[in-house]
Amino acid sequence: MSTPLLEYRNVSKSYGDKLILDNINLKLPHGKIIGLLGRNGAGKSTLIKLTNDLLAPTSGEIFVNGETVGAHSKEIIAYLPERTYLDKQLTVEQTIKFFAEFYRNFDTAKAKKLVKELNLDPSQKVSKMSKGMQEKLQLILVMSRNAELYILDEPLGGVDPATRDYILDTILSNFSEGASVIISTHLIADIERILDEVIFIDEGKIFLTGDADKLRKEHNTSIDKIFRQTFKANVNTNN
Amino acid sequence: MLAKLIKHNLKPIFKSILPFVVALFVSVILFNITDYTLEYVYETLEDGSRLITDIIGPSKIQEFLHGFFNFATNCSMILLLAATVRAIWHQFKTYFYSDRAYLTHTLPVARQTLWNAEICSIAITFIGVITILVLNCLLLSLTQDGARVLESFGLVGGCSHCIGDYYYVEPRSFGFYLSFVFIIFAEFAFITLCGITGMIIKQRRGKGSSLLFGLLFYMAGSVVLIGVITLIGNFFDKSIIQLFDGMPHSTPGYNPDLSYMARTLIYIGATYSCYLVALYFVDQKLLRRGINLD
Repeated sequence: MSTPLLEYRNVSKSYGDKLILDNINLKLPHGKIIGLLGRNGAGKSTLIKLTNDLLAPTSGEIFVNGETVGAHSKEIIAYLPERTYLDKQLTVEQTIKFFAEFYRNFDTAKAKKLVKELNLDPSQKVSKMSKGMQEKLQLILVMSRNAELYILDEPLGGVDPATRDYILDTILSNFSEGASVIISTHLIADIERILDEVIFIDEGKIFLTGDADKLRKEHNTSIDKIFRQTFKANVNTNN
Repeated sequence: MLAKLIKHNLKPIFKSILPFVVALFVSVILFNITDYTLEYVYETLEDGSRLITDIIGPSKIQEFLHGFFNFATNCSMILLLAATVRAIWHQFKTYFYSDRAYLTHTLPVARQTLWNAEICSIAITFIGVITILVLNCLLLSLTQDGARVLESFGLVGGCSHCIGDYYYVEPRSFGFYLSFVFIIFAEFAFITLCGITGMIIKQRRGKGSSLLFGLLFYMAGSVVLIGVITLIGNFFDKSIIQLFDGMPHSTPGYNPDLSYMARTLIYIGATYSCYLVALYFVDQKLLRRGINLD
């Protein structure tokens, strides 16, 4: 059996007495688009941060391609955080150069092409860009890497429906062949069409995992409906 | 990767201290330009001796400007060192714990390398800043009044009460300068690392004040340092107790032996070096346990 791309073994995370993730055991394969779905505060971002070494687990271990999280995993994971992490003093062009300097798998030509397509000015300073433009630039930087795993934390949060489609198209048309994509969101209806697998997370526990098509057939309804029924959540997924 | 990280660490630090470097350089140049010499008018007495009857000084404006640039030079030196510490703290906080940290900690490098890059950046920054200070001191030494400023720091032997050509300055030994420079480096590196340790502890605990933690480290270090110097002075090198008698006053022709001061500086430097090594490993261990970005 091949090594899973990502594996969580008995992973828990707590802040003081508050348990955020409770004994997560999960294996994720290569070459899939996976939806990490859950309500706000369910533990999605915590799980993602643990995977990216931005948080230390209270217990348990995380393996990426069979190795513990570290420099190697960061080389093969392209991570889009919820926050804007760009250096505000740099221009778009300098930011691309920075990424090319550090990531061996960064495709500068692809980044420049996407910058042009998304109408960004290469000479503009990041500090002079709107939040939306900065998010676009971050997406470009992430999708310009020939990574094995793309982890996108709430990539659709705070953007209008037209832009959501544009973002999804950018993701779909730019991720490397054979790579996996984890998209964390509570806006399920928007991404349902592209998902191969889903992970439902709530109150720090994995509630349900499986093939998206199989789940639709078993429940005879959409993932969005399954999500709503499962959590009895009153989430407005489409504004 | 280490070199690339250091390059990106140094950019914002040097950018933020550049105005202070320029201010210091301009102050020193203007101080030197406005320097003046007093002209003494003598009257020869019957017995052949001379009596000063008048002193011709500079204009009031020149005197004021010279005094002002003297003040500005002193302030610029202090501000440059303070700004350097602040810039390093700010860079560390931004790169390790702010939103920018999401990029820093997802770069394909080990956390150990990030920490080593930080330490190298601190060392390079202080070496650079101290070099700038030394160069400005050399510029100051070109003028008579500049030499007096250096004398007030104890950096040259001289005479502040002499008049006319009788004023002279004499350099101290090379060892003295070397230990003086090293002590400045070690002291400021220690202050900087105390602050960084405070930030790391605060971030790990998730509460408290990083400034308070840093201050506690610094105060504890200073108390231990005084204890170490007292111990050495009482049991191993009794001459360094002279340090507590204050700096010897300059009198004409008197250039005291300050080798005990140089040795004291070496003891202080060695103690600070131990602190720096200890803090390096403590911080490294804390960082290895992982960070917790909100």
